[in-house]
Amino acid sequence: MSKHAEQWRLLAAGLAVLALSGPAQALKVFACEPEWAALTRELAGDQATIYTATNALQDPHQVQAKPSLIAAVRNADLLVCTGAELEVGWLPLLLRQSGNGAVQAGQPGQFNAADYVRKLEVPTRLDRADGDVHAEGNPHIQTDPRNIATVAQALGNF
Amino acid sequence: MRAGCRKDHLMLNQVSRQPGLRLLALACALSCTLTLPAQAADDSAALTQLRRQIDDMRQEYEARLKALEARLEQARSSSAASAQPVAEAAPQATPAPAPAAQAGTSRAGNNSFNPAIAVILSGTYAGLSKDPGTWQLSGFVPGGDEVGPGARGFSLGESEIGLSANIDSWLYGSLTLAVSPEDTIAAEEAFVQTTALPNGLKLKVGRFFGGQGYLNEQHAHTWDFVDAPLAYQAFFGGQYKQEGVQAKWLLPTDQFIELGAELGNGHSFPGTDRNRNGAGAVSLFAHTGGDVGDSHSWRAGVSWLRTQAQNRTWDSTDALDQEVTNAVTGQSRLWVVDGVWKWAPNGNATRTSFKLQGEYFRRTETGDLTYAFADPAGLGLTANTDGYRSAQSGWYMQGVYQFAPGWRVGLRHDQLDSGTVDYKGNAAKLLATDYKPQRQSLMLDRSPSEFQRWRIQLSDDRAREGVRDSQIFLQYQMSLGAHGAHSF
Repeated sequence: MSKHAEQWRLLAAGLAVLALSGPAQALKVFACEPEWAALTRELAGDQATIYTATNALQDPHQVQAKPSLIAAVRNADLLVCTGAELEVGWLPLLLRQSGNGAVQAGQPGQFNAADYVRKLEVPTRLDRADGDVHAEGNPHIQTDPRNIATVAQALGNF
Repeated sequence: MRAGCRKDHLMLNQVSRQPGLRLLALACALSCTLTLPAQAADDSAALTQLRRQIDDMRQEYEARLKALEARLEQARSSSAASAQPVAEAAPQATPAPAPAAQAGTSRAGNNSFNPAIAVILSGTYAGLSKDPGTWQLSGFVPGGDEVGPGARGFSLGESEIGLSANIDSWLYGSLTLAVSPEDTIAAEEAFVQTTALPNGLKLKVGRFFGGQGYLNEQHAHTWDFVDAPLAYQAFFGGQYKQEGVQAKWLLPTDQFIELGAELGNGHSFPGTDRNRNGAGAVSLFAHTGGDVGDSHSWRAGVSWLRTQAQNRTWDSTDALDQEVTNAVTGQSRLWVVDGVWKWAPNGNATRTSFKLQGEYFRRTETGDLTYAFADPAGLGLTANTDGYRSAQSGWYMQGVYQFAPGWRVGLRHDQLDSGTVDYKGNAAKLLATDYKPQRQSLMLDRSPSEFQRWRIQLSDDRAREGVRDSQIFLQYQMSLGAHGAHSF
């Protein structure tokens, strides 16, 4: 009896050693824009593998919810996006098609940078006659370098 | 929006710069007023009076400056009031706001807890050289009322009202109502979808457009042409609506691979209501896709759909040109192969882009056909039932090129093949044709903004054997309210 218990204990210890010694699972990050990919790389170093959804030559308002992006969101542990409706034309669709519960809106796997900075031009009047209005304020928070530091702090604590 | 950012910065600059300019002007004025009297006379009384005046002016300007600063501060705080409290100058702001408290305080969601409401308004003008009442796909079983080019002249297109929202943290719900020009309201889609299942699994229940092919899952207002491809009209009667349950599984691979299965009641064409408890429609499908470089992306798929029909009836004329009614009871198996390839320079489709899509359909039907007509001699109804077997196919290919922002031109070719239709014992009465219906369409559309589209389409329709129908369509489509993202 005690021999059996001893064997089990050994097995458990072996498994634990295996689990600890194995290569640490890198956090899979889906960055909506290259700015956030660069920031995440600075903060996480080699502890994260980062997928950048768009490149600097793309208009982040007008991105196709293409198959490669759906697959990337499906496999992501963390989404780092601008928020404030910048990605409203494609991210909601990716989220719905990804079947990944961990990164849905409001879940711990979704980080929206614009939640952490003061947004300019929050409209007091919502009317499409005024053009394509962002209801949550100007999402182009990257244009103020001080915002990046604030977001870095928030993302670091996230 | 970007112009707006600059405007804001500029405004701040102007306000802060103006007092500086005023002080400069004041200094100039003072230096002039100071030097001149000093040279003219050294009357100390005049000098003290002057000093007092200067002090007064300085005080006045200081007061003005303070007032300006106060107004600036007020403007700043009021614009920040609706946003969240944030550390002003980030670098030295060590007590950063607690992120946990802040996350989720964004005003996401539409009108608090109201579902997002989207309205599509559309209208059409159709100029048809032949009577649309005689329209048919020669050699094919008619697929219901929603096929054909529609009515002549001006008509209200299908208006759509869409309501959607997350139900809770596990489910998402969506209802799309279609208001037809005949003032009927139909639930185009009404489904509940899971959002929180693990491992790339999704379940959908309710009424929804089936996952077969490429275009079937997309709403009519996202189509690139006024009407559905002939293959959709022949094999789905327009669009295939599933009523039941759908499961999709996205594989954990870098390549997009999605497998899906559906069980439905199968009431939609080519199936019928059979008054059974079991599923009348079963479907399996798989899609895959990816990118080639930054500028190209693609998706391809294959789908299979099996439906059951019981007394699916339609009227036609027989070999002796008399009105007859046919009814088929049997099984229909459909294969669809679909592919779409999109090009956008550096992934940026705002200026120029190109989309090429095509789908191939093949359907086989087996069962019994009942052939009935009212005997012209007044001897009552004559009917005969015998075996029925058909194998038919069709495809379309279309390309749409955006040559300037908001301007697109597209070309589509439709081709159907009546294939083989075997009426067995009824073959003497019912004549099978080997006609191959086809159609070419050319369209040009203009979107002055994301929310409106104006389209002109010319079609050369040879769906009817021996009849050439020249068609012109003018169409508008407007999007109001929440504008859902469009799928790939």
